[in-house]
Amino acid sequence: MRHASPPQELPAAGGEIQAALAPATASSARAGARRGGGGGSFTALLGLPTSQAIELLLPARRRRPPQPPSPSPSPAAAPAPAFLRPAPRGPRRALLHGKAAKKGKTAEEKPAGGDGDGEKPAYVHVRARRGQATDSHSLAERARREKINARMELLKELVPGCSKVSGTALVLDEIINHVQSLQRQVEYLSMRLAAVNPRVDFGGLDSFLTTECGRIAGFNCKNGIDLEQVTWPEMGVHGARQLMQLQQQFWHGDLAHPHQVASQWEKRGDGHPPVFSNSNPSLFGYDLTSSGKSFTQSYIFLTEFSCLSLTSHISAWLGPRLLSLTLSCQHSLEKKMYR
Amino acid sequence: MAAFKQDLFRNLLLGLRARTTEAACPFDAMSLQERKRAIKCSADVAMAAARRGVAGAAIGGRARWPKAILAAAAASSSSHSPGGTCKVRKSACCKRRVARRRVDAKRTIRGYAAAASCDVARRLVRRRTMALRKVIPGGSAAAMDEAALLRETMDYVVHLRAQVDVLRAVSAAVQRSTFLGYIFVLHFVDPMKD
Repeated sequence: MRHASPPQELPAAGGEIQAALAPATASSARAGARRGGGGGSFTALLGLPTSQAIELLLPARRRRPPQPPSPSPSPAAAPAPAFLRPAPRGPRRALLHGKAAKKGKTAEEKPAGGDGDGEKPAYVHVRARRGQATDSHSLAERARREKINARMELLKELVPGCSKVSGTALVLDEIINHVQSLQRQVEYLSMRLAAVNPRVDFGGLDSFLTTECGRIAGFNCKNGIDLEQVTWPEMGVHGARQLMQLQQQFWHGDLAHPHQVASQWEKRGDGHPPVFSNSNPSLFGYDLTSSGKSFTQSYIFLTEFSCLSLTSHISAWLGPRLLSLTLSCQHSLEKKMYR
Repeated sequence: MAAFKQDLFRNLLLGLRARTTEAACPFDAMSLQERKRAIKCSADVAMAAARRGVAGAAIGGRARWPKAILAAAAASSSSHSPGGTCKVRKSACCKRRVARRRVDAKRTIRGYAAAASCDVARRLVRRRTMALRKVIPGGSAAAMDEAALLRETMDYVVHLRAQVDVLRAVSAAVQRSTFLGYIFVLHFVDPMKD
């Protein structure tokens, strides 16, 4: 109808973008949820192809020009009286809304160069607002500003704690802090990984690469034990031989040379056993307070070898009793500690 | 996103293995700091490679940060002289800082009349934008406008979060495996000891 299209023109351009973005992001969020994407609508937005994403960022502009010609063929068929027939839309719109309408000037322009090379130049229809200059420079400027504001909105939604803050400088501050904290987290986690396994058996990790189901299981469930339950049975083959060597050396080292272990620590050049205190402080608390020296040294000796291959054999041996066994072991361990 | 994480994990393992077998230094001969740096570097390279490989086809692949990360890693591994590049960067930063001080001195000499609120805001925004460029890899290299920089930031934040998740899961799994190793020992040793 005649009154259907005009309400779309009246809201301001920024509001249009947001209004178009909101249902668009809702639909894309649904699509993203179906795909199993990450949190929020932005990642769903990222999942769309480029042209669609651009369309969402600068949405309502393109839809308007195709609309006017569409209703015109239909009344030609209907035997409507002349005054009801929707005449060419431009002058009628101006008649209806007069001063309240915006100036009916549309300008076509190419988007700013930052949109990338491989895309065909998309024409952006920008409507000049009332009382504003209509030359191409200010229109380009306004389009650029709107693009930047749209992206700032998306970033605000992406970075937690940014929606309350108003103003570009503070939002940028929050974004910088967030990125720096993420980078620091990466450093901390890599330090932790470097500390926990001084020696990684990469032969045993081949099974990680070949079994992708283990990875999916590890990421889809919060409980990380599932990851190990799926992947370890394959590694049992690698770990069995190493475990035999381990056991032999273990008993020899335990009975014959309690002091060699300490020297091995120094040889490795790490300096201090607190490297492992990061991973298991409780066990080394026990280490310090107990009198059974060889017991703790056997612990240290064991960690010299690759833990992953060892645990592969454990899992093959334990089987489905994993969870209950760890719990009972934890209980016995605590009992030993506090004796 | 799950596909990206899988690729990241696979690349991380491949990179670590390549680093320890091909390079002259095995994993346990390195110090803690070196290990940490090796893991972090291979994690970043893995993230960049995964972004280019899988997600590049789907999303549009217009991100510039993967290229920057890979270029930096290749440069550092080939030259093995990070001191030289650092010096170059430091001199550039010093020049920029000196120039800015001169400009600011001129402004204060002219008086506070020009310090309108919008100017202050614009200056703050400009400063923040430059800081953001320094943080995002590849931001200071190319002459990107604000819109492209914001898009790079969005992309980088999403993939950085995925990297953190992957690393956290891996470290938790390895930690749990070492803990279970201790449990195993406890079971075997206990009846014999006491």
